[in-house]
Amino acid sequence: MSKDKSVPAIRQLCVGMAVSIVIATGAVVSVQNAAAQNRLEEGREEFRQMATVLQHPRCMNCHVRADFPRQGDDRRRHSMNVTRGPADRGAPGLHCSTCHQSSNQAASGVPGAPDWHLAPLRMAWDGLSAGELCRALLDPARGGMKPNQFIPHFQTGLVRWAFSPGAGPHGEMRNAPAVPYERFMALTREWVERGAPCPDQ
Amino acid sequence: MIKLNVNGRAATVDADPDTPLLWVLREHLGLTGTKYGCGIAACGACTVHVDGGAVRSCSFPVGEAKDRKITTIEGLSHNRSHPVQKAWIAEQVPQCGYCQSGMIMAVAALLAEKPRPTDADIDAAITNICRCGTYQRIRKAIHVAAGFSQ
Amino acid sequence: MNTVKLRDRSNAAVRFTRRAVLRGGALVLSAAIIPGEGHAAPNPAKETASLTAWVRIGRDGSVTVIASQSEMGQGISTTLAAAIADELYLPLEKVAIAFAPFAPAYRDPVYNWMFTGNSQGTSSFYQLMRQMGAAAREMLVSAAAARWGVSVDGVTLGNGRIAHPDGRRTLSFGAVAADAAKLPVPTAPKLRDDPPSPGGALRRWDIPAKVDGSAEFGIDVRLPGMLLAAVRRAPRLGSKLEKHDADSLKSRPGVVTVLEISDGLIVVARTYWQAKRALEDANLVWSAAGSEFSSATAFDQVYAQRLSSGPFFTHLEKGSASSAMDGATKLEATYQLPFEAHATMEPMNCTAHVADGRCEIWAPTQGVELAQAVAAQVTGLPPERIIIRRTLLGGGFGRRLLADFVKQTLVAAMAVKQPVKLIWSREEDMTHDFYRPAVLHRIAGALDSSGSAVALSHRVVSPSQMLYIFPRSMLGDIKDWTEAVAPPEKFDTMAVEGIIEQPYDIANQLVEQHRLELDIPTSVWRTTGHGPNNFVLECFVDELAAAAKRDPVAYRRSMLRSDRRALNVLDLVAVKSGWDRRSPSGAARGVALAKAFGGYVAAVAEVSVRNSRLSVRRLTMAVDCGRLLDPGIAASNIQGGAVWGLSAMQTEITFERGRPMQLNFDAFEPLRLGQTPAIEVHFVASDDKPGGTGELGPVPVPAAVCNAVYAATGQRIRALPISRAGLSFA
Repeated sequence: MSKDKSVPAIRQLCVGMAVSIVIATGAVVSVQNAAAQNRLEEGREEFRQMATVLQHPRCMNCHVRADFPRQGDDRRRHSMNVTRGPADRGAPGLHCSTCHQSSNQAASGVPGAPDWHLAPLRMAWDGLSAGELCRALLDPARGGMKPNQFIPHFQTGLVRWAFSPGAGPHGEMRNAPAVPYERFMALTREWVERGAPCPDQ
Repeated sequence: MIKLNVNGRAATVDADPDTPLLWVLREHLGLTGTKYGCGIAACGACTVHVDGGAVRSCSFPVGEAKDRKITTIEGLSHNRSHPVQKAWIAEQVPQCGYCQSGMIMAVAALLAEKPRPTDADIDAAITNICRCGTYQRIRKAIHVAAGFSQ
Repeated sequence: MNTVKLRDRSNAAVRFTRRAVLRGGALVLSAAIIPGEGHAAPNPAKETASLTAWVRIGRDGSVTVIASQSEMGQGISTTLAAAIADELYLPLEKVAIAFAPFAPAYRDPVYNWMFTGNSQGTSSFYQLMRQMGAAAREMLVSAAAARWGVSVDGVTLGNGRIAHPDGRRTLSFGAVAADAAKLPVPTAPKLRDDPPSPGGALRRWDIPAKVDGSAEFGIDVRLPGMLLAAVRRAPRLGSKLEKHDADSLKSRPGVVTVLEISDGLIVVARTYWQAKRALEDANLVWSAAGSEFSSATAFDQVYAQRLSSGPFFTHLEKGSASSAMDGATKLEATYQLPFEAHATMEPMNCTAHVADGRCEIWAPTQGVELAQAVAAQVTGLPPERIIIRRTLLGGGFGRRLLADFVKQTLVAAMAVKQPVKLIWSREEDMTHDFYRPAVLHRIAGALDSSGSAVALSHRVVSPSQMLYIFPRSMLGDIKDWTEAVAPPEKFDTMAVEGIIEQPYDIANQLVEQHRLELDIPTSVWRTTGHGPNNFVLECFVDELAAAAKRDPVAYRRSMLRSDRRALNVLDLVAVKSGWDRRSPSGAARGVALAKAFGGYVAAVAEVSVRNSRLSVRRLTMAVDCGRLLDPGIAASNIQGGAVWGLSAMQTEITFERGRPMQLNFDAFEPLRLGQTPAIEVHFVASDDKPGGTGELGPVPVPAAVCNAVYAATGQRIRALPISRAGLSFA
């Protein structure tokens, strides 16, 4: 994990609010509180939209709370009883890279992206509501990231793959999340700027 | 032109970089031991090693093979002396034999990583299809090969 | 589909057994007197002499044994070659094996037809091979004796040499082979009375090449100047190709030519990948008309309706099942099984070169004679200008009996006048298979007061399995031997085999079939009718046992008073499986018994079911395949067969308006290693005639497993695949 030297957005926000409260008159405080509440509510709404991506089968199938990946929109167990393995990259002898290469393979219909692998078990998302997913994303104990780390993660090839998942073995196009990649990244930036607030539910 | 290293030898092939390695091996290099079974990485008949790891070559574009070490069944040993080959003969594993090149390559990759695999390790790693149903002898031969390697 | 009458073969003693086995007369003798010259690929570097059609001896003493039977994994080429080698006092390692092209000498004597299938290679050829080996030996001995001017008495063979009675002088086989070849073939050669280590497990000759990539399958054939072809036929059966853009296809890299065939397109290119890619991008347009067959409604509508309405052909009537049912405790059930694809690991392929009035074919085929005849029909060449060179087969299972892929290849080879190898994609292979037919059975049984079955009535709705394989020469004048022709119903018995000759003593039996005509091509598939029929019969016998509140093994025993071999395998499997001991906790056992392919097999499955996941923990099999020629090969066939039987419980081909919906191993998924239980195989010591083991193993497995599921859960599975019962293999 790289350490960012700039002050995280959420702390800037907190410090700013605290200063405002100390030096301002009551009227100003309430206006500023309302503005901050708005910002937070907008941020929560942005996360709800982000969650439609994160909870999409293209992400969930490998952010899975199981010893095996899933596949397809019905999230069935990965064929061949493929297993997670000790390093989230398949069993000894049958790594993800046995079949999944650095890009989608038109010839075989096998999807691919650089370093194809499962999210570690602590980063499993099955059964989490949007709010729970949000808190998990920010919880260091569950592999959570600092807000400024989301953009670089979402720029990796594996995440970008979810938005252009290619066609299957018989030419059928895989479904991508309804939110396009650029919009997802804009949402993420805005959500981080607003302090990465989490929806309650 | 794509430069390859196959079975320890340099080779140059004139193929579209998207061409599956399987067909480059079979058609450009004449290495027909690697078999076509499904073309969708579901059966494992085309398994080879890329930098020592098992790869289903029907789903591996030859463009990705650049600067990497490829081993096929023909390069596993010169005289059937690889422990897996010896075990396959000792246990009389193959029936029709069509899947066995891929099977042997998959097993060799497993043993390289896990020299004494348990039955559970074998179940997880060896997912190649054998339509003749030689699985029982395959399992036995893997344990025998593990013994040879010690 | 035509139905024709059998051609009258007045000069041959043709008779039909219950299994429509056709026995041609006087074939054993003819096999001995037809010379083998030119029957296998000649090696000009070595002058060879042929001693019968089966043994070639080089000037250097090298011995080549000719194989009639195709090698598709069942080990037949090892067993039969060893029979000849034994008679020549040679170890198997000292002989080379060559696959015969078509010649009458290599016909299966039972059908008078050259093919490999129906698990009858050993029963048809084993004794003949011993005789041919012995004949060659006697010819060598006679030639050597003549050379020495001594009597044949006391001349012996050993280590590939012939020894003088004085014990000092020897001659190599090669030294006298040319003389020996001129001698008449002994008509009654004396077999060795000391065959070496009978029942010993031989090391198969083909295995070393199968572990280093050097084994040559059809798909591996390479010839100078060879082009590669890919084919695409209609994804919906019965559709025709309406439109394609040949010009843009021809401009694709590597493409040499494009050929339209009746329901598809062949692209010929420099490499297969180029041909395949061009074809995939070709935007072929198919006609709107085609088969309307849909699996989802077929059983309820087509099959069920015929099950009530018929008409039926009566294959067996013994006593009176209907009167025995009157007033008795009656049980009735309906069973169904799906279409299945062969899915040989090596997809269909063939290589051919037709030029200068000659036709050469390199093919992984079980059906040499059919391929030869089809080649003559397609090329118009006389048979002697056509030669079929066989490779190893990457699986057969009955699919490679047919010659559709040979015909296609010849069309391409004739167009380009260069050697062409045509390879089917896996999708093409599954879309244009000749499927094991889906069947619907209604079976009824009547029990007497003691619970014993006194009547069995069995009605089967099944398409024919013999449309494409029934020996064409028996069917009159047919222009295209690849087309479907229905044999007379009384010989079309595969739909009821295993039922009409079941081993139980049941006084009253009725077996009827409605032969369903479908626009889905159907043919034989490993286990033919025995597999599906045993599933029905043995699950139902289990139902009878449950109704009679009897133990399933004891119940079967009580009905096996007259069939010693059936009783032997049942008793052996009960002992070896520990039937009388309690199952391990959470597990239950089921049993099934089969009489098939000239042998007997019983299986006990031990299973557990949890969360709809069916786990087969252990399979115990007891086998009587007659005299055991090679326990190693036989065991591997039975074990592999058991896996085939388990696979058949989870795979199926379904159709939607004529389109096969499973195109590859992602949707048609045979069993994998991790799902395979421990399979123990035990043989009954037997002196009966050797039977086949290639298809015996799978037969009782589905019933044994489903009966175990019943024992574990009370759930009766009457339809396969098991997904219909909400189960999947763990």
